[in-house]
Amino acid sequence: MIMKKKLQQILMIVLMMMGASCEMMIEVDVPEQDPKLVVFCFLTPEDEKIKVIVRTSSPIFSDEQLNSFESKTDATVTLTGPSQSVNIPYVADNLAYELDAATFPIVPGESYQIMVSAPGYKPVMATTTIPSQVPTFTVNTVTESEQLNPNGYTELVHKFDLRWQDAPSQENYYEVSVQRYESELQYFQVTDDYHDGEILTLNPTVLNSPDGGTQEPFRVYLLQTTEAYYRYKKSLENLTFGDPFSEPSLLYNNIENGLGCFTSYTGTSVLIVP
Amino acid sequence: MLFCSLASNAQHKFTISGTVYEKGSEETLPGVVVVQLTDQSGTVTNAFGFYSITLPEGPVKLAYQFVGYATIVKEFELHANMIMDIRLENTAVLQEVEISAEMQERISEETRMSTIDIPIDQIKNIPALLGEKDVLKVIQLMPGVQKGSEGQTGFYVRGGGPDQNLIMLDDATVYNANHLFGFFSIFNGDALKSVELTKGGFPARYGGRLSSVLEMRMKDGNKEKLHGEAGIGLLSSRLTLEGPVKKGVSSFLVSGRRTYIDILAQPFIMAASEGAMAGYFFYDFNAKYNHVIDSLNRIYVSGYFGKDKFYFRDRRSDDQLSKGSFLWGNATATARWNHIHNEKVFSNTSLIFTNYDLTIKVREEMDADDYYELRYRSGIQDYSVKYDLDIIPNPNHYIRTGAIGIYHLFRPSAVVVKSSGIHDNIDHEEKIPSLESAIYVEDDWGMTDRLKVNYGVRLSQYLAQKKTYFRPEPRIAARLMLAKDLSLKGSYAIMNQYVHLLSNTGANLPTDLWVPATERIGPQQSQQYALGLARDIPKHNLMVSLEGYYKTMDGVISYTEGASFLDVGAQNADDDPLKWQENVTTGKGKSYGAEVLIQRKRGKLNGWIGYTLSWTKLQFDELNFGREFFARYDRRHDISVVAIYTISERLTLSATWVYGTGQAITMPLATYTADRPYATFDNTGTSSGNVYGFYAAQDYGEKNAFRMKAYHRMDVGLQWHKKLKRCEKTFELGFYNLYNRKNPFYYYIQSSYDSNTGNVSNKLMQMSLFPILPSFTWTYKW
Repeated sequence: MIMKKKLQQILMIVLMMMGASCEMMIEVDVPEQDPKLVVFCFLTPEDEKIKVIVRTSSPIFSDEQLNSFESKTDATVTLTGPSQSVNIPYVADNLAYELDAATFPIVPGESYQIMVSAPGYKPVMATTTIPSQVPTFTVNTVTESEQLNPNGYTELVHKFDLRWQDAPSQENYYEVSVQRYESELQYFQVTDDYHDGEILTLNPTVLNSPDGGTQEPFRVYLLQTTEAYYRYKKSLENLTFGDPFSEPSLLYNNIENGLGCFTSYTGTSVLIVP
Repeated sequence: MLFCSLASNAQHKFTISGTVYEKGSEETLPGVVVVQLTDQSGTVTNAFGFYSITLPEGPVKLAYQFVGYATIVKEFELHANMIMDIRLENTAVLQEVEISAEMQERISEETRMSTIDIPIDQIKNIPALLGEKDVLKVIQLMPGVQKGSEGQTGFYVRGGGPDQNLIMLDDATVYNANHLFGFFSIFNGDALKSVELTKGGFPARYGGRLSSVLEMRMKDGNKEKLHGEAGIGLLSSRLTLEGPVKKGVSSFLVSGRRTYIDILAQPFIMAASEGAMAGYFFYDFNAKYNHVIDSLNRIYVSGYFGKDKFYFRDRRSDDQLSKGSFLWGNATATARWNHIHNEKVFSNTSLIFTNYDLTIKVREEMDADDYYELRYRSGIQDYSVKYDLDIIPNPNHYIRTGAIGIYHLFRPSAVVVKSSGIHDNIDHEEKIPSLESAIYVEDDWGMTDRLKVNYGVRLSQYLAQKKTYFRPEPRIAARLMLAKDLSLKGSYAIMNQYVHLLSNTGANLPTDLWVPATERIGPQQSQQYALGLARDIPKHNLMVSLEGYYKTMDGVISYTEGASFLDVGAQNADDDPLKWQENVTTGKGKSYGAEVLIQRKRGKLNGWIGYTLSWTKLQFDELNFGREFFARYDRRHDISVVAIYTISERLTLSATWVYGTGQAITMPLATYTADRPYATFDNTGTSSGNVYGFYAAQDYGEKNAFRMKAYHRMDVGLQWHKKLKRCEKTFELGFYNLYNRKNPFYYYIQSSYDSNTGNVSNKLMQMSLFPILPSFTWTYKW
């Protein structure tokens, strides 16, 4: 890592030197871009509330930058399931469009469509099919050992062993995460490429400083996700900033005419007491 | 089938064979057309000037024709096998020779298509950046071949990347053929005899890369007289010497170059920042020796050696120092033995060595005993044995067969880190050996007067670690004469490539790394179909070709991020020599298009006009979310015009104009906020709702969906020649980018903040590299 940084530094010096002698700068005209609707919604049968976030994008080459963090409150959000279609109202307190899941069940294997429109914007839509119920999994603590970190503190190393049966003859996507105090310590996006129908295994390792004798349990999650979920989270992990030598990484988008992600998962979790 | 015609011999036939030389220098001449004028049957001299033609007993009228040389016609009665060595005279040496139509090579006659050869004279006459004549930059001016970024030598052939070109100097593969971070190639035109680029319809004797084979041969050295050429330019000086060791028997050639920008630029760098200094230089050296043992045996030994060095040193205070260097270079060596077995069989055996090496050194001193030192080395070495056999049973067949074995030794990285902060210094080196081999056979078969076919097969094999790849590569090319001087050509070829180039910058930097195909990242493969028309217009000395091609590429590689499947252990496996695989993803590519070339190789006004219309698309499962996207170097239109005009014996004017559609890049057009979901369920197993994180995201549209501005540029050069009794002086004045076009090199976003309104506004800015640049070169030849 240090090495990569060093190499980058040297390359920058080289490029600057090459450029310094005769570089010329001019402005390039970019055709006007319209802002787009940005929609995020992740459906799961486990949820008590269906939550849809709607914002807008801010074109970079315009005179005025829009606030892309602000929720779009005047949108019409329509969710259509196998048997019904509802308009989801905006809940100002939560900065989101929200619906009680009890009135609109999310069922594994069924398809759902979202449509969002707002005055002055191109209407957008997306669909998702809820993955089948996540398989049960086993998780065991393989090792717990101590190691000295570079700062001279002792850390506890927990290594887990996860196993689950992959459903054969279909492409499956999974997410595994290890959490503690409701924060993610480790997470992995997994596919069954090359291992279709096998028992899949994963060995997450987490480091933890012992916190004064009391040991908060770990919660290990297995989610069965969609290809869109897999690609979206993979692309989030790969977002790179400020490295001029890497190709820009694109964030996955499955919203037609807009931006964002509409997808789904099913999940289960196991508590591990260290 | 190949050998069936060997047997048929109803009438008495005899073979005339020999070598064709240039008169005066005794340089062997490849590509000379040898034709029996009575029935137009003929052959062509091979790469070593050897020819063999078998004709019926009786009267013979043989013509030896080669562009730029006076044709020789021999008339005699053939009653026995005979050896006839021929010496052709360069017409440049002769006074005002009328160039007759018969003297032209004819592209409509050849079976081969998609092949470009450029006379070295023309390369020397074309204006160049800072006056440095560059073979690779001239190649970029041909249809079907595109340049990359401004001033770079890397070239893209029919949608293939620079890694897909096999660049050979006297049969030795050159891996990173660049000086000065890709702005100049390592090939010194003074030492070269011939340059030929094949971009499709590959004969079976070629293999190892997907998109092109660039074959360069060094001059053998004058066997009669000592000659020299010296040149002084803005960037470098060069000197070439050639002459006999033993007159008529053996000769040598040495040629060297060195730059002096480090010396020239030093004061400016010193002035720019106190305590800092930086410098850069490169040099290269070519040498060749050849020896005629007897009329049947001849040996050649040749080599290239070159180095680039960039260094800097920055002393910020007494204790604080940062210094480092980049050092890279190529070395090649080739030993060849030509043997004439009999009048119909010729062989060449080669032993070849190639080495590319990069060393990076950095040392930083924070204070007296706090330091960090890094030494990084990477490279590749090849040891090859090659055997080629030419069998010419009769004028209707030309059979080539042979075998090659290459032992590659890849050194992806050797790292030594020493630091006051690390107790155990890191010191590790990895070496990956692999073996590549191939056998081939091909036959150029004149089936009828109008139809000629070159068919063959190459069997290639690659052994890396535990995995063996074996791939047959069928090849076929055919030409059908539609009328006199007009032919229809078609070809099909499969090519395999067992080495990959990891390059994450798009520029040809010395850090670009060659790695072998592995079990996980397999070889690349391409299939190419081409169809074309070739027309000679002898009256105007013109050759016109029109070609269309369709090429698919499989297993091409690109950098990605992440991408590890159930592979957690590898996250801290610094020792894994195949770690690069994790950063690489494979995909598919396709390219199709049409090319027009109108070329005039000789005459008062010579040069060419080339136009390419093409599309290049890539598809990677892990890039652009699996959707197809345009390659960065996808270029819809590419035009080049090259004109060299001899005003008088003393004055030559030359000009080039190029145009290319802008590069496809990934450009953010909007920003937005992205949410990151993660599940949190409470102990009962029901959800307490999604928890979101926020990310600043950018809307790029599709990958490479944004086009840079088009590139166009004109260069001119004016040469004054002064011929004295024993020598010739040439002074050249050149202008690069004559009309000072600001061509895009790099785009970036400039943000400004208005403190009155609180508004942030962004502008898209373009950086251009070279404005109009004059150059002067002075050459002295004797």
